[in-house]
Amino acid sequence: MNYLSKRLIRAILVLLGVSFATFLVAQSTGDPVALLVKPNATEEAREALTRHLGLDQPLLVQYGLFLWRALQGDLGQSFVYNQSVVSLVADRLSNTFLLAFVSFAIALVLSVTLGVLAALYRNTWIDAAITVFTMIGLAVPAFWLGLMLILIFAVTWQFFPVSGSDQASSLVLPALTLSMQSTARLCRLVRSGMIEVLNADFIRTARAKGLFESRIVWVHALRHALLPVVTMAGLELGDLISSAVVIEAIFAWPGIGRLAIGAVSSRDFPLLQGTVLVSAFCFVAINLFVDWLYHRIDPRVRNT
Amino acid sequence: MKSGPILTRRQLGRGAVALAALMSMPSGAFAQSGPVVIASEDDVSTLDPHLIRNNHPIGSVVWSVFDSLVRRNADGTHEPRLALSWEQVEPIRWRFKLRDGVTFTNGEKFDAAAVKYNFERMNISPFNGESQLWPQTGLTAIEIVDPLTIDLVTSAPTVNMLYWLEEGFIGAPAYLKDTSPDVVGAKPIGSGPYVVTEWKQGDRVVLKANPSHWNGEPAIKDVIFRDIPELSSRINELKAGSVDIAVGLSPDTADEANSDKSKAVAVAGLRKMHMGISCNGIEPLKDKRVRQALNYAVDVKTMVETLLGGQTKPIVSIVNPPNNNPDLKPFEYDPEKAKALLAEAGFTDFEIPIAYGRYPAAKEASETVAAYLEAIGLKPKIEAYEPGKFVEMIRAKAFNGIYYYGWASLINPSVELVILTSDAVDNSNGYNNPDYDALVKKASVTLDDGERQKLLTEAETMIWEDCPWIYLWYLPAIYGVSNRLDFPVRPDDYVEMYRAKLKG
Repeated sequence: MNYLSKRLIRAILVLLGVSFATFLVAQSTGDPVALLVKPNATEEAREALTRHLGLDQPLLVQYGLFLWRALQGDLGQSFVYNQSVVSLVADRLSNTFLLAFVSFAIALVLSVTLGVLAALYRNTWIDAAITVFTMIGLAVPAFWLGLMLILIFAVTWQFFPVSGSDQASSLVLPALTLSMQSTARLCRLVRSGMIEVLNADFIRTARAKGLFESRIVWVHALRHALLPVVTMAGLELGDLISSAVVIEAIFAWPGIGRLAIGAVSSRDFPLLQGTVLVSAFCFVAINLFVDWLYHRIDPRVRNT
Repeated sequence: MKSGPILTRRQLGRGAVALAALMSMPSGAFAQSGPVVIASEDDVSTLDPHLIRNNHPIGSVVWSVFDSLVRRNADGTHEPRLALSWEQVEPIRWRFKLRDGVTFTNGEKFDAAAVKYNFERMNISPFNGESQLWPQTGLTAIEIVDPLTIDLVTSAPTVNMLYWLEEGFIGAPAYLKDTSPDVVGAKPIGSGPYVVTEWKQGDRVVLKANPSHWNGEPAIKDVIFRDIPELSSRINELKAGSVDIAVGLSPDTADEANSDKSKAVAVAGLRKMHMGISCNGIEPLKDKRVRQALNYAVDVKTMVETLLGGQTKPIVSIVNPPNNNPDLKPFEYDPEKAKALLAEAGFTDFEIPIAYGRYPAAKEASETVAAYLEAIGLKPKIEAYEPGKFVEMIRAKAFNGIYYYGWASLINPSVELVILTSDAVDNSNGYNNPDYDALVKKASVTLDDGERQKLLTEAETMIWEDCPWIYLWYLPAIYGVSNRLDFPVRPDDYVEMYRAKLKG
């Protein structure tokens, strides 16, 4: 069996595990009927609702049904929204993806630029400034940074909207906030990778051949320095999707994170299972993609 | 007592807002036209008229899009809407004359059959889990007398018919019948002052004035209800001029809504915050003297001044104004008397669990009460609950000490007092007093207004002395309101845009 099909099987097992764990944890947190009906609803109303939601079936039957329907692309009806989970999740997921990918792009561009600059001018004030910037980026909590950006750019100067998602400029502040930590982490990785590569023999050879310095840096050296960055970047993308939860709340961004939080507090099992399963699916898919990419750009992986 | 983080998220947020105040604010003129935007903490989960889960924001939007036979005014009186008049033709039969010439926004006609269809829908699953018209009024039959007259028949005489009809919204019947539930919940069709033109879930509901509303087109033409979960973001939107009403400010952030564009408006709400005292939990709390001692031990006045910035008042009865007995007074702060009562009851140094969930300032309130109880020699133990779990514990009557809780914003003495009778499902602390039960039950079938009021006042006074709660305060309803807007706030959380106007 080759490398990729092994990965694929592993991915499917992970998803099965996640779905079962979510199912069990959700069921053990409490009774959604108690939260859905008014406390003075009649006993018959409660029972009718329990049947309506399918909660009168044994647990394993419920899980089996859930899995069978999930395979057919049906994640059930949300208790609270009275809508299909798939349409709810799809709607929100596209928003979260938009936010995560724009942040990812910002993080990549910024981190590579700053990382290379820091490596080229290492131990100068430029390097020091970039290091301070990355330290701050890592240390500052995202929600605080978000509030600061809102105060400066949305309340005082009014360049961007405070929150919401109705115009393209609404995306700027949340994406910047979200990208900060990834930018900082990746930047440090690029910097150390570049410093290492710039001292390598083949770079000296390239210089000896009289190639332009810019070509040496941005083509020869960067390609090598990026290898660890690719793995890291894949993980960062997954991380961006999951840490979007906090950012979504501050910027009132209608993403999947807020949907999941709401589903937890209202014990909306189908919605909770749906959001977790879909998020896990995205995470696993990204990892698979990174594995594949790695496989493509580094021949050494193909032989292991 | 548990110690919290050194800096909480709210404190950071407050620092951030304060910093903005220091920076000079641009004083640009703000738009006089443009939609009126209302920002709320919670999401609108459905717009089905019979699945309303909260007064705001779902209730506020539903009230804008649908009409009911009668509407509750802020002072608890009843305004005729789709009903023109009503009378109790027999003790168990209410007759309503309906408004002529009303149409739903899809062209369907409003008549008695529409009322009947809607009310019957409220009695089937899943709507009967939410709608309370049938169980609360004892409704048994709906009879059409003629196209504009309808009779509601109850199993026993009820004094609460109008109250519950105010939450009985009437949607276009054929549309409700023939449309799939998802669509009904997303694209509601009513006969109210507004129509929904766009709903982006988790983000916004966009409303447009209904030009053919029977009461005339409302003054404000375009309204947007936005969902902004983070409090500091709602305040920042208000300051940036992009939101006109920020709902649900906390007492400690209210002042930050006062800017050149907006001001904070507070009403002592109707939600009665209290520490429910479990009457079926730990032994000492079953003794009335101990429950009274807890009330003497807590200095509510000082808590209102310091913790809540004086934005509200201590509660003076279990019945909300204006129906309360004016002779009842809050318990004085008297720790010596509290200790004496404890000694008399023979419980002086017991451990007492204090639970809290999601209410505003829940942690602060619980910790302060704990400090007061420690001062009279008790051993308080604070327990924080995840909000969903907290509600479950409440409904299972499972707390065995005291718990920070608030009662919904009701304006109806009969409904309020019934909740603490021994077999009421929401009697969350297991309070059980047969004399009280008898009084409330008798009142609920007494149709003579004066006689009923006497019974209710007697019950109200009896329970106040019996202390099923540590009486705290009315949860203040604090709004940040744009200066361009003339907006009457209500104490029961509903935002009624058709009663608002733009200034100038």
